[in-house]
This record gives sequence, C-alpha cells and structure tokens, in this order.
Amino acid sequence: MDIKKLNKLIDDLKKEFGDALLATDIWANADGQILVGYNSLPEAAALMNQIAQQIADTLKEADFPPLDKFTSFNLQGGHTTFTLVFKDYHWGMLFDTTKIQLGLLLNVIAPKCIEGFHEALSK
Amino acid sequence: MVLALVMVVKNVLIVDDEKPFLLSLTDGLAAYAKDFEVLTALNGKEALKVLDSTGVDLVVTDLRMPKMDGFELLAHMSGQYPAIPVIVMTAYGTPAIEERLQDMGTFHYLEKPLEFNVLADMIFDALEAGSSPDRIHGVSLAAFLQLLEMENKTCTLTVKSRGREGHLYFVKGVLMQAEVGKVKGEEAALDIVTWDNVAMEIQYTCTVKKKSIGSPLAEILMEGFRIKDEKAEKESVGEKEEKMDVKKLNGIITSLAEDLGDALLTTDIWAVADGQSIAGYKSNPKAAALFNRMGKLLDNALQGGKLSGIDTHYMLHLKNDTIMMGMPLGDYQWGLLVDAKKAQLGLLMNVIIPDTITAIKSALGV
Repeated sequence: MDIKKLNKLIDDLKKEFGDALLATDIWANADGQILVGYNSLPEAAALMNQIAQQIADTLKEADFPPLDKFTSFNLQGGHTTFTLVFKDYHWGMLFDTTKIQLGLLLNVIAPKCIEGFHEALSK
Repeated sequence: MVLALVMVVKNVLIVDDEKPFLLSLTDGLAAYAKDFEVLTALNGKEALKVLDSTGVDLVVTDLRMPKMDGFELLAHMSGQYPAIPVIVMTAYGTPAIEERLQDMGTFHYLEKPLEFNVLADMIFDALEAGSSPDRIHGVSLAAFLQLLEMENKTCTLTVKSRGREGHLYFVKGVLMQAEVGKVKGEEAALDIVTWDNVAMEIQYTCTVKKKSIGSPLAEILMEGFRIKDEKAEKESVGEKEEKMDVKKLNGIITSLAEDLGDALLTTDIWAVADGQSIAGYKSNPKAAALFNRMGKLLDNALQGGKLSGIDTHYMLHLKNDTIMMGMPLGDYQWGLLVDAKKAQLGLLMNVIIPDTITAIKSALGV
C-alpha cells in the first residue's frame, strides 16, 4: 500500500473542503485501526466500523444488495458523516453540515477519492 | 426588584373517634403551625361539615368510627372533593397490607400507633403532591376496593363515572358480584375497575349471596390496569391518526413520484411502532421493514456509541446502484429507494428531500 499516496489524498481533501472538513480517517475493516488520518477520531472510527458491519448484516438478512460505494449520516448537532466503502477498508469523513457542498462531494470528490485509493492499494 | 413571599398556611383535617388521640395529635403537630393548621372531627359526619365550610387541603382519617365511618367519608369525598389528598390511618394494618397500599401509590397509609415525625413527613408529602397538577389526588377506586377487602367489609358499592353506573357487592371483604347494566360477573368488575374520575356511594348491606366472581380482587385490579393502559395506548394512537392528513400524504407522494420520475424505485411512510405503511408509491413491505430495522439500528448504535442520533436523513449506496435513504420523523419514518444512475442527487438532497420532509411533517401533525 502506498501510504504517501494516501496522505496526499487526505491533503487534497483538506484543500477541497477547508474548514467544512472536521476530521477524516482511513481504517482497516478487520480491526478498526486507523492507517492515516487528519484530526483522527479513533473511537468514532471504531464505532463507524462496527455500524458498517451491522448495516451489512441487516441488508444481508433482508435479502437486499450489500453496501457498495458509501454511507452518509446527517447527525443532530450539525455534523454529517460520509464513509467510502472498500473491500477491506473504510474511509470516513466528518463534515460541518452547514459548510459541506454535498454535490461536490458526491459527484467530484468521492469518485476521485475512490480512484486514488485503489491506485494506492495497487502499489 | 422586590420579592414578596406570601406564606400560605394549609388546613389539615384529622378525623378520629378517640378524643385523647386527636388532642395528642393536635399538640404534637403544633410545632408545624407555620406550615399547616390542624382541624379535627370525631367522625365522618363531622368531617363533612368541616369540608363543606372550610377549605381543607388534606384529610387524615381513621376507618373505623361511629355515625359515619372512614369508608363512607372517602366515598363521599370521591364525588364531592376528589382533589383533596387523603391519608388513611388504621390500627389493624399488617406489613403485607401496608405494602399493598403503598404499591397502589394513590394515597397514603399510616398504621397506628403513630409517630409524630412520620405523620408530619407524610402530611408534607401529601400536601406537596396535592399541589401538583399532574397527580391523581384523593382516593382511587382500586385503593378503596383493597381497603374494603382488607377490612372484611360487607357492602354494596355504587360507582359512577361519566354517566355510567356500576355496582360491586362485597361479603366480608370478598368480591361476590358486579354489574353494569345487564352485564354481570367478572366482565362487569373488569369494566368498573378501569373507570376513572369515579364517585362512590357505599351501603352496608349486600343482597348477593352467591359468589359469581372467581378471580381474587388483586387479579381483577391488575387485569383492569392492563386493560386501562392498553386503552390509553390505543386512544393515543387514535388521536395521532386523527391529526394525520392521509389524503395530503398521498398527494405529497404523488408529487414526489412526478418529480423523481423513473429514478424513484419505491417509497413509503410508516409508523415506527408497528412498521405499517401509511402512504407509499410502489409500496414495498420488505423495504419498509428493512428501513424500520435500519433506523432503529442506527439510532441504537450511534447513541450507544455516545454520538448524536440521525437528524434529517441517512443514505446508503447499495451494490445494484440504488440509494437507500431514510428520514426519521418522530414516531414515523419516511424511506425511499432511488436509482443512483437516474437520480439528480443535487436536486434530491437540496430541494426535494427538505421540501418533502416539511410537507410530510405537516400532514402527519408532528
């Protein structure tokens, strides 16, 4: 895995979103441990990892297709989580709901992040 | 700023047929004269005169008295003075009886001989409870029936509530028969014990000789409480449904379907309690059940992990390129599945979802 590339992706994300981005972490699904991050929130990462597993189980039990690209939660208190889903990893982001440009995130940044992450993995 | 404190001295009426006991209580409670004044009566009849002529805030009464006993007094108070809290004193209590009465929680019970500080504490508690608008005051029907049983009373109790009238027949404290119009036996007893705001009349005669009620009083009361709770829950659901404008909800869904076109795969609005759909487009019970489970899962997981719960929505992108969106709306939820390739997410997130949430909330009356 190209850690330099991952850090570069996180730097780019910071630049794109400025103070709308409160924290971001990339963690391994297996143990919820963080690989790289900015304003890292290990407890939140562990919780989101657990929630992703529970969502996967619930979808499976209901005979629905599994999670694919992302999950997003608009939370009370003015925060929005956006988590990119990969086979063995998750990339979680915490935004200020009032400042986030969701269209930019969904249509421009998220595809870039997904592409960049796969490139970093392939090395 | 000047704060003016007005101390209101309350009136506590103590009813007992033993004069020396009344005198000693009056003396003992004189220490609290700045908080409450003690009035006395030797039986129920005298107590009624005091109640009719003076503003009484609390009645402390014995049960066994000549002329008019405590039961007759309590029955009269249930109709005329239902808001006045009551403390019942008896020399014949047992720990089991005390526990049962305390469990009723609707009035206070004291066992003779009394300790002044215990009585004073109970008076303060009862006066405080009496001033609370949220509390049921006076003596409840359930507590009164338990007292009749414990005191082995033989009587006919007439119970009136909201234009209905029922009769309960006791022989030596055993509930023999009940009737409401043509309905008799346990069915009538179960009906009566669920009534509230009751006025009672007691007569110390009972014409019923044959026992027609098999269950013990305690069981009937417990079942009555259960039925009452169930009824209250149904009424609450009914009130919510009355507030709901289903036509408007269907109109909102139709409009949403027009806005999203073939990007909208399915949508439903349902009650969280039972997962039943109230309005929907291409309703999918399987999806609604999944949404309902998902909403609960996220709330439990997020709040259990000390994060805030979902505010306006959550969104999951699924493998078949559909987006699952759930919106909590208090006791209801709205969920939709959209085709990610066909949906304009910007329009959906910034215009359609916020506008639709506002309209749905208005139609649901939340």
